[in-house]
Amino acid sequence: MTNYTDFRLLQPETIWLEEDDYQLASALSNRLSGERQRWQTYLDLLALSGLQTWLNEHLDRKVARQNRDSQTHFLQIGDFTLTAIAVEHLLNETVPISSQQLAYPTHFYGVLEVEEEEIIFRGLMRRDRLDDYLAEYGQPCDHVYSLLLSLFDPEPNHLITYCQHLSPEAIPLPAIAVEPEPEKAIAITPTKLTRWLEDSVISGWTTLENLLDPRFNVTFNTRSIDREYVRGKLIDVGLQMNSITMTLLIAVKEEDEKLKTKVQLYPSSTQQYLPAQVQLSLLSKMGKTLQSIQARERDNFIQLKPFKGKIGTRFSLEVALDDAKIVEEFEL
Amino acid sequence: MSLKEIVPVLELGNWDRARRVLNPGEFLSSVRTQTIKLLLDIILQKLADLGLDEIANQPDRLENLSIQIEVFADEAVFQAATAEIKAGKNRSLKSLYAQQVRLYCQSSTSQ
Repeated sequence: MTNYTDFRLLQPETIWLEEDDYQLASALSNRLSGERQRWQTYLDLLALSGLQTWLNEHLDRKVARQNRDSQTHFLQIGDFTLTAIAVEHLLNETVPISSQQLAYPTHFYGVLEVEEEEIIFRGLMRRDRLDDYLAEYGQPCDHVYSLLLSLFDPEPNHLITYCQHLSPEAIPLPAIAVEPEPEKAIAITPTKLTRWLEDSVISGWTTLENLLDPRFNVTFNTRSIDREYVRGKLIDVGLQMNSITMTLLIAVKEEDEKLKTKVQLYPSSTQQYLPAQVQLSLLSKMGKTLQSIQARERDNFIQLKPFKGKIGTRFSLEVALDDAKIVEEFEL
Repeated sequence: MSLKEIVPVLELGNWDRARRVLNPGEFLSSVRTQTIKLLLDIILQKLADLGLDEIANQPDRLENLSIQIEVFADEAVFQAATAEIKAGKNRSLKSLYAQQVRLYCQSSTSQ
């Protein structure tokens, strides 16, 4: 291959983002549960909007943003497709590509650094070249491949060239082998509640016995906890909303070959009441709200109706106040 | 003339807006993209005229041809222009690119 000049090293392609881009990215990503998914989708959408603007300026092909599901978006450039690998920085010179991004094959993968007001084009990889590389060197870690940035083509003009002069069949795409689960692709590991029944202590959680210890400094109403539950553990969700920290308590026990689960939300030890309007919701695996409870003025705690599920069932708990929310994922 | 001085002359409202509109690096990049695209179109048309138009199925060959054109255009025009833009204050705008931009502006204002 002929060597590149250093033009792109000195003058990377920078594309300004507009107010509409932020609004669209915010509206579409806010529908997702899970803070990590939401943020990554927000970055992906900003990257795609910026690249779409740039392509529309330079290419006489129809360029449109498409999506396969709520968090998998791509660009349709004439008969070609492109996945954006949106990153906040490339300090370690490596590019993360998730197995989900690979499972939905597109002709191109564009690395785009999302800055406060702009995106910077950092690299391009054709799918055929990516497959060749991964076949030889690909070793994923938690469903994510780390590729050196230097493997990517720094020249965005080549994207225009390919789309204008190449036939889409010239870049063969692998068939979609397995419909991936969105949560798996970004390596979210749900907390397995069955492990609590084995008396396992998972990092970040504490036992019911510890919670009842006055030294633990948590002031929840122990009478509200069903003592028949085999294990109950507490999570400090670390929810820093208007300087209010809350505590999520979950208790589980086996019942009729299922797991019965009880969920409560308490104020932190320094507060007597929960903030009014704070909402606790149970979401299905697909993000559908199954039940929800909202705190009133002077509520010491709120709780969901106890629910049962088969072992292996996945669900999420969402705590929301005003525009802020946090989601924790679980597996029974 | 600094950007701060240009803002009131062009009634751009604020420095931030001017920074977006009057961005010499972005303008240079855009001119380079258009130039290379034009050169490539001409060469591919020549190849097609000679009956050598199979490049549509050869991505590596197309990429190599693009890179060769970029190397040629950068050495002839854009490397010197980039160096001028990156030089900061007291830069001499004598490159071929700077001369052509001045000529274009003069011919546009005289029309």
